[in-house]
Amino acid sequence: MTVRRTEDNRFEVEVKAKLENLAVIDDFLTETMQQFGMKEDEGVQVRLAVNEACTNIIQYAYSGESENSIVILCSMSGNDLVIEIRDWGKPFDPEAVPQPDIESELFERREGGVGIFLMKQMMNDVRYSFHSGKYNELRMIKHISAGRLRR
Amino acid sequence: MELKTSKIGDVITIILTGRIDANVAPDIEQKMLSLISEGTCELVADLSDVIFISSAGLRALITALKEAKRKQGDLRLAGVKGRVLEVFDITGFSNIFQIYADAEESARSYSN
Repeated sequence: MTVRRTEDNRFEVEVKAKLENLAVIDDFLTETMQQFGMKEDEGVQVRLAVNEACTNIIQYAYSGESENSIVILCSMSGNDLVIEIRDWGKPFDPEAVPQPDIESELFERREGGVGIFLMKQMMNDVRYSFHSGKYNELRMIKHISAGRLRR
Repeated sequence: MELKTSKIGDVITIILTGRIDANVAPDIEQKMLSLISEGTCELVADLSDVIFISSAGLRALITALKEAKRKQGDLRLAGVKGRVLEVFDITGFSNIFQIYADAEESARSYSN
């Protein structure tokens, strides 16, 4: 894992697309959010959303674990925590995934779509963009109540 | 991943800790399915020390719950609280599982 802190106070990590690296990403996020002075409770929602996003990248964009990269950038913009997640795999549009079936009984329940649904519930804004020939980017924003960067 | 279990009466409790995500969910699912196939169909999963559970973790629990129910058993939960409970609530899974305050209460519910 390589963590960088840029001059404009963006934190960046790059990992290989392996499920075991979900823990590495989570440790990076936990540390970064502490630097931003975020409450642990809000932090857990962000950690879950990023875990879901990176799982999708590994399993769908890269069709399974691989040596390909996932890059995560964290920054603060006013009271917004901004998370950008980049991959170089197959473009994937979360908007195309149907809403999960959350009201049916156990054996009638349709599976799938829960991860993206959770990402949207945990974050205030989730946007996906495809930079043709370059990379895919998922940009997620969380309004936080008491963000202050520790210097 | 090494999974801890405990036994209260005849009920086996699987103790889940930390992040329950796509990296660990297959091991959890496998453990629960092998217990069920060996005839232990009344299970408890204790989530008291879980930080968060992702959709992959939820899927593992649902798969085990379905299998237990097919064998006239159940998978009941314990210690689901805070942000973990929020995930169960917003996905509708808190209506599907029987959830108790702690593992002991959850295990006792089988003899009621």
